[in-house]
Amino acid sequence: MGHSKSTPSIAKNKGFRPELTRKKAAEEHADILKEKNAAQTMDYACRCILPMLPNGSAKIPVYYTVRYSVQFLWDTQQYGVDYAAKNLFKGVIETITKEQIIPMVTKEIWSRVDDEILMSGANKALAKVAEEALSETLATIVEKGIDAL
Amino acid sequence: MNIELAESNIQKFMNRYGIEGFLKLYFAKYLLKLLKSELKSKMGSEISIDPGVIFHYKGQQIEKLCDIHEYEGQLFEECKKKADEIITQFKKDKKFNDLFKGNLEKLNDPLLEKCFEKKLHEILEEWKGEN
Repeated sequence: MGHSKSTPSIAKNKGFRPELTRKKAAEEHADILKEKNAAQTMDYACRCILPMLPNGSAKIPVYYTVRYSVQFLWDTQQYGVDYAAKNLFKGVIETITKEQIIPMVTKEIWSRVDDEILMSGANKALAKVAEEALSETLATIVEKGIDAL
Repeated sequence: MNIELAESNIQKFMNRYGIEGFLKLYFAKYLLKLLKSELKSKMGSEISIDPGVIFHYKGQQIEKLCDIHEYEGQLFEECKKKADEIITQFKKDKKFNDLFKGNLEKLNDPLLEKCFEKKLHEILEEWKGEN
């Protein structure tokens, strides 16, 4: 298990003043919201939001979410969902139902992620985003299959 | 839907799109949720509303629900494009071959975690320069 130093991406910029950047960003996005243009919103996000994501506390939860999700999906593809679930849960469950699959798998993956990021001081709000995105992604795949993309 | 159908849907998805497809969908949803959450916080207390509503706040008026859905749908499409870019960049880097091949043992390598974090950071910094 590795732990990353939490370093804001933008901190290296000379003279960085977060309070000014946030105010400017809020003003700028207020204008963008009036236009309600998705491309402009993404453009704004690329300049003002995404580069500010802290390295450790935001990106490590994403890595471990991906890591354990890949394990579950790969195992399901190769050996079936029972095997995948038991492998993920370390064999402590007998069977898994369709209703249980998303909440149980998400909870278990998140429990693993939580263990991994405990020492890295992950930002709870940012970690929650990673968790919710995982839950929605798995639900979409389970419900829609090849139509999920 | 029973568990067999759920399993079948996962297998069909993985057979068609593989881990790359999962990553694309995950990053798209992650970016959308992140934007909604971050934009809400950056708008400050003056417009303290549910993050799901922030996108259709226009002036002092809340717009129609259909406009919200249309805007969020368009924003999700933008997130998908960015997710594509993320996946393309990761695939170009041989260090992540094991991730895309589902080589699970290699995923436990702490070095991969560091590389993932560094790569994601580089991609986001690159976007900042482009816009």
